[in-house]
Amino acid sequence: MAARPGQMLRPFIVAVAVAVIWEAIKILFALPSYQLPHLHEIAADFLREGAGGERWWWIMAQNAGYTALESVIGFALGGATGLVLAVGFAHSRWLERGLLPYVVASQTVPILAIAPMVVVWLGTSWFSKAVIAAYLTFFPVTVNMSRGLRAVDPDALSLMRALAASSRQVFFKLRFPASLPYLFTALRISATASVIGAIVGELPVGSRFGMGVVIINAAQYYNWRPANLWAAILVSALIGIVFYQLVAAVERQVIAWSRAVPAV
Amino acid sequence: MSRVREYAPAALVLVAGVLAWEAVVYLFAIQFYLLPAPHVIVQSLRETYPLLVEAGVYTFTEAVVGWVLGCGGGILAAMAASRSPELARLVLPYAVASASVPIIALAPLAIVWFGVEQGSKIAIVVLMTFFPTFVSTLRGLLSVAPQSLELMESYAASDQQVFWKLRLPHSLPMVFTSLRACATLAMIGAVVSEFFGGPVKSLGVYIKSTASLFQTRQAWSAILVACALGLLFYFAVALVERWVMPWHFERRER
Amino acid sequence: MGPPIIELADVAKIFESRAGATEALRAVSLTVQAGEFVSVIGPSGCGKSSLLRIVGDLVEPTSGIVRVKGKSARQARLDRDYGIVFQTPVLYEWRTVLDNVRLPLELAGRARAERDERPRALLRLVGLEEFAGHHPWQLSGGMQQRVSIARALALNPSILLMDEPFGALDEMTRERLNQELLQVCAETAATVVFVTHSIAEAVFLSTRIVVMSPRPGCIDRIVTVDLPRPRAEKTRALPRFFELVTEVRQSLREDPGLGGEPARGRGAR
Repeated sequence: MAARPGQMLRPFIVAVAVAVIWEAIKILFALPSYQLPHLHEIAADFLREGAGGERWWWIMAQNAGYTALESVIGFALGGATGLVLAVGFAHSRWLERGLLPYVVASQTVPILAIAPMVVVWLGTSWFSKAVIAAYLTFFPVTVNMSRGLRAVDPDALSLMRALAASSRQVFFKLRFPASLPYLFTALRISATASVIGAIVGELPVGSRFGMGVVIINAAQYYNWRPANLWAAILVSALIGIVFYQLVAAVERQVIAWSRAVPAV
Repeated sequence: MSRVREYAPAALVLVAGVLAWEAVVYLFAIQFYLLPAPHVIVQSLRETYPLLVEAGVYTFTEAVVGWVLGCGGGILAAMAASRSPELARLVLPYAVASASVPIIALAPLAIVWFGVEQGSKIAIVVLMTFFPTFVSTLRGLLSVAPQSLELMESYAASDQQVFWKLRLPHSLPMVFTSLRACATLAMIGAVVSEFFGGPVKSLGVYIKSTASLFQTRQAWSAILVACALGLLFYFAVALVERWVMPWHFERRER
Repeated sequence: MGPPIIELADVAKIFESRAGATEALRAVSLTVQAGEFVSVIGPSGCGKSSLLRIVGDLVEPTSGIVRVKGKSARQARLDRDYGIVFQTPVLYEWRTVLDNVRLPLELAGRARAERDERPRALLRLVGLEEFAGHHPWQLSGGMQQRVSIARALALNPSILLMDEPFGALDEMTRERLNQELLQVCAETAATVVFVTHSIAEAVFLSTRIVVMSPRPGCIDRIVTVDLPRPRAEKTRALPRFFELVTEVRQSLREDPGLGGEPARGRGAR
């Protein structure tokens, strides 16, 4: 961790810089509020009262919570699936040869493009969104974890053999801990992917809650209230960033020992 | 012979999968609007072929143009940033952090700015592909071993020479890994941004509207076209990679 | 002098690969008595690492008989009769130094008390007790290798197999660790099979030196080191030390060139 005070101050400096640049662009290019609202207009939107009488920040918070929940559930499901697959692959070469190409190919299937189909199958409740999020999560976890389980120093394996360790012991005491850095790299990617999956899952007709719905509605009424869309996008971005930082924080705790963890 | 043994399990799974799909649909008498059987999808493909081709080309163009601009921009920006490592270190965390932002959420804004046609989708694809490429390229350019740099110094090599003869070739593997990943991202980005709004003759809009009308076999045939195009793009980039870096392809871990 | 603790009879090893067959070892016969310190020295590719790994049942011989403590090599490994030290420390990054030494005790399912006390005692033995809570990367290469030795002693094995353990270290650290190793061996009375390509190290440490010929490896000569024990720094200055070093060096030089005919293979002289 670098110098504490400087690190703490940086987000504020960045925020101020962004605000200045924002307004500067607005003035320089003479952009109307239609294309680039003032920052205070976006802020004002949060305080605005919605159709039901609640303030928009509360409406956004509820929908954000809904989307976040879908992401987290999908993330957990996908992560667990990826882990099981990776362990399976590490144990059976045949299983790997049979399934890995499809695991890889599955990612060229644009699940996001299939989102409308998934919603048709699984309904418009949170479940279909979570499944989409899980789909996006399991691939990086499988691939990275597989690589991690395999990337073990051959001498370390010889050592375990010399100590007459059972394969169970080799797995839990050597392969698994050694693969954790790889796992967390994947989880960080998946964190964002889950959020995207949840939002895209909320786009097809029929969903009622979530940031995807808010965005679509805000886009529809953009001409009346441009700031609303910006506010919705901002909140969506925040969900992604927060989730990512949470996973990164857990990573720092769990594998404090690994110097291989990249700085960001 | 070992080639066959390598691909046999995967091929088996494919055939088994398609057969299983047909069987499941038949045995459980699954409604056509939930899950059409493969042969029905193929039939629909044949029927709507001209429409799908047009939509496919439309969306694919967005993906390719966006990819070229985004990745090209990312590489150029990284090359510029690499000249000043301090600047690079300053900018890098934010570029990496942008990966945690759901860029797709910006699609409606892109439509506001660039209209409902291809322009807005290209803009989104550019955003999606720029940052990963920038990060990968920059990392590749700056991750040269100190001893390699010392070697160049001992030959009194100029900065230009160091760049073209050392940094750039060194970074190629990382750049291409990113290019391949972005090829997949580009197609997905194009289709999904069309979910937020676009002309009827695009794959994304077609998929979304046919799905909402439970015209699932049409939707599936369009999805298949999208997949095929995505795979095509990916392999095209992989082919170029193999041609540019024949030495690296052999060493690359599978 | 009881039965030998390690017996190799006519051991051969051929490695098959896509590039063809490589004959690493040919007709190696050797006996080691309990308490000996036997070094195996030879040019690169002479199969000395393979030989060590065959004794440790980490590699299967193509032919020949291996008996360790009267059992098969496999049984000896399953009974955890030996400790092994590699050229790299092979410490687990996610465990502290203490936990790394504790690993063999965990694997062997030893009792709680032993699992807690013994690692500390071992670290004390190699002089690293105060680093018990550190992580491997916080230690120098030499210190990591000492931890590795402590770990090899965890189950109090009667045999130590060491594969060029000090090869990656600088000369001064190496000489110091040589001394420490001898002290540790004296305290534990272990039999040691030590692979090295440093002649001075072999002469300093051993009771016998097995000189191997280039590939295909077989035993060229066995040199008995009659220097007084316990060995110390001044041992390195003895005239006899230089004589032995010269003898071993000449032995290594006399060997035929690449892929040549088997060396004289006469066994002990």
